[in-house]
Amino acid sequence: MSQDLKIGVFICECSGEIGKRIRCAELASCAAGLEGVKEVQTHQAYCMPPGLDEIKKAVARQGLDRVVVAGCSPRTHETLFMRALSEANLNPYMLEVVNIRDHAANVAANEEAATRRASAMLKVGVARVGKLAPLENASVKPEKGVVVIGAGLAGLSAAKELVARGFKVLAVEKSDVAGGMLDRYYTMLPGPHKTEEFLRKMLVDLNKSPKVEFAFGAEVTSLTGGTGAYEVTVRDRGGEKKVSAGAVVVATGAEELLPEGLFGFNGRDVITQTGLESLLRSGLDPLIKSIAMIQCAGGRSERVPYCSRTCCMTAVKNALWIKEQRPFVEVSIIFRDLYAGGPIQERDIRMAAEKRTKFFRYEKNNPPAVEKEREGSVLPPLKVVVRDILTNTKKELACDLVVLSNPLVPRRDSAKLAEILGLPRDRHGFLIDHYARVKPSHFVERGVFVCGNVHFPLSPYECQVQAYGVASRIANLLLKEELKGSAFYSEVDESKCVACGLCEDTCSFGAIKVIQDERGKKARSSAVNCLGCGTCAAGCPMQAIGMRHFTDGQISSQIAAAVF
Amino acid sequence: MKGDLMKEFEPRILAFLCNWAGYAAYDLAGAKCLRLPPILEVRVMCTGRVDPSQLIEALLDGCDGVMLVGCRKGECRYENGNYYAERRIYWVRKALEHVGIRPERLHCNWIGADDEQAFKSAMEEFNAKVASLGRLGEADGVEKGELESRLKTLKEVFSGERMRWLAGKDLEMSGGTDVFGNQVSRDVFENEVMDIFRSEYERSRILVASGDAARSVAEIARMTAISSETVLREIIILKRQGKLFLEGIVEGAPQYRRVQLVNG
Repeated sequence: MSQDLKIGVFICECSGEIGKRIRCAELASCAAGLEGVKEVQTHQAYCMPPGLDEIKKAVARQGLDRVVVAGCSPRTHETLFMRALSEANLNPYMLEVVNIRDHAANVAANEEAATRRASAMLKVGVARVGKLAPLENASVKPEKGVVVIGAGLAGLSAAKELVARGFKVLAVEKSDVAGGMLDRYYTMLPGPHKTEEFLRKMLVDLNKSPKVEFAFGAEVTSLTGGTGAYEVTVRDRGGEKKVSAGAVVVATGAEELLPEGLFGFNGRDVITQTGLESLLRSGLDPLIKSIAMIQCAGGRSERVPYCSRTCCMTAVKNALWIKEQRPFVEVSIIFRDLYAGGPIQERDIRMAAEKRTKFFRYEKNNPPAVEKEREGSVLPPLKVVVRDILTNTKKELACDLVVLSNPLVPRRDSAKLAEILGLPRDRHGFLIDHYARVKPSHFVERGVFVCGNVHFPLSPYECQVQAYGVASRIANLLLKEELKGSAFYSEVDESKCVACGLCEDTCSFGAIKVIQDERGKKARSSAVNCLGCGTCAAGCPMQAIGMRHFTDGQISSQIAAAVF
Repeated sequence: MKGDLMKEFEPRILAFLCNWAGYAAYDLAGAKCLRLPPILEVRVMCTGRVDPSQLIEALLDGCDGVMLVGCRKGECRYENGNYYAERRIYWVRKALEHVGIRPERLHCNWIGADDEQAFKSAMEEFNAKVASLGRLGEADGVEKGELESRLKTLKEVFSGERMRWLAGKDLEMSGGTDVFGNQVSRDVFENEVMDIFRSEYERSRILVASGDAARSVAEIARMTAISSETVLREIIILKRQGKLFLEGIVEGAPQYRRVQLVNG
């Protein structure tokens, strides 16, 4: 084996940085004595064009098949030397860069120690390079179709954008109509646009395109394959069918948490904001003279600890609408904190106040109480008692209708969906970004995207922005001729695998999964999705997983060679 | 004081550095010309790549100490590689303690890629620690041949499925529940794992003892200081698993030998 090795060692003096601190001649003679080393050279700077040419020439002249560059960090210079190797018709992964500048020359106490250290490092590098194997990057020709799960505002917006970019879209909707939550709102945030008109226009646009297909009463039951080449199983009433797609958009939305048992909620005169929306659609009863809206009805509590974000603005929007249509109806908004980010929202609050909407603020531990007026009274049937902390007075508001602003919560089936798609959920149950802070719209798997309320409660505007963001990410991904993955990825030895599933738990990227197919139930790794960390390989109970470029054999050879 | 120690004994230390934090911080320390103790490194993409059996392999190859340097908790490039690495190192340390080797010889550090000072002090501290512990084996009071066989046995244990599975499941188990939804307390879990470890260790010891030559039950019992009843019982199990075979009978005593797997 070692007879076949033709290793070239190139020691860079780094224009004196290394040359002055390490005895390079001694290092070279040490390298020449190592097994398999055919060529040892030193140069002022291998990272410069003349230096790179030297490497290329030596590879050609000596027929070298592996190269060790002892110089600076592989973190900065590996790609440069890899390119040089490619140009010399050598597989770029037959390279090891040993950082003798930062790890020996600069940190050792004297020349003697630095040289000793560098030669020890070189030994490790040569041992490793002898075990390297030529690698190719994983690649996939992406499918130009996308499956969008959920045909609500986010899903439809994503579909619209994707079609505009030339993709085929299959929209999978659980119910029988498109629109999702839009259906339940009469007017749409932030302005007084009618939701119906908006939705109709959107659907007309979408239906014009032959590239969009809808599957109603349908759901996704499994997802196999990897980024660029998924196979999605869609089940509808007719049965199951398999669709191939390059990417998947999850836009299944959220659901309302009904304020059962809160503030006397009964669905008749104590209703939710969506209940009010449907009253507004059919025309508000002329007998209703005063309305009280209670915010955070169920939200920001122990059960739902987060702010649902849109309910304050929905209340203000509806107050404005009522004030415009029926200026003499009294509207009071009883809030804990009024969440209204953005210039339009600020303006709307001011406008609502100018139109004599009353605002009262309550504290969490002193919530308003809704009381029934006694029978036969001439007063309106309901009374809201609230301690207003803005004026520090107790108010009693007589009203005909109490509207509760209830929060959005993750759909009950979102856990199942997250499991099918291998997506992580936050502690509330919403699907989350991979790096919520620094990489918006990056999700665990490169080909599965999340937008809309399934992510967290969003205004319609934000839903659309997210959908557009996701659509452009997908375009980025799928418009490429070829999707390139890393050259180091995990590989499963199926004869050893017992499908225990530990690797699947370990992987944060859904790159390795236990899948049942015609070859049996085994862990399968997706080369395009794997980022090459190797955590699955080091943990596999059966040692059935191999990690390319960081194989057990390579690491063992390094361990064995690591002697001063 | 430290200088004196260094003169007497220079420990051999191997560091597994993750590409994104450990290696990056080392690069930065080098760029800033900080003085660092001589530690040889193996670069891996993530500390999660480091196999528990390879930690022992490093000790077996004569390292006096092995350290892992990876990203800070929650900053792992691959999300959770360092959590898994920590759990693996935890169990290997427990195992080392069990066989009479100072567990401090294994160490993990989680630092930021931009924190070269933390890297320097981690290196220095570990170097001083191992220097004060002394040469592996000698300083632990384990004789050379015995040390080798103990470490080989440990490597065997951590190449086997049971300890690897438990080390992998630790994260899930320690924070959550078992498959029946019962909360498992840390103590119960640890005791269970250590029980399993002890039985695995015993079995592996027999396997290692029969590795270099065919041996009889009595011979193995003498070598491993395990009662011959247990040895016999384990040999029967190992034989059934296809890990041992009967090579022949010498003076009426059956001679067992380990099945050597040809590594492809």
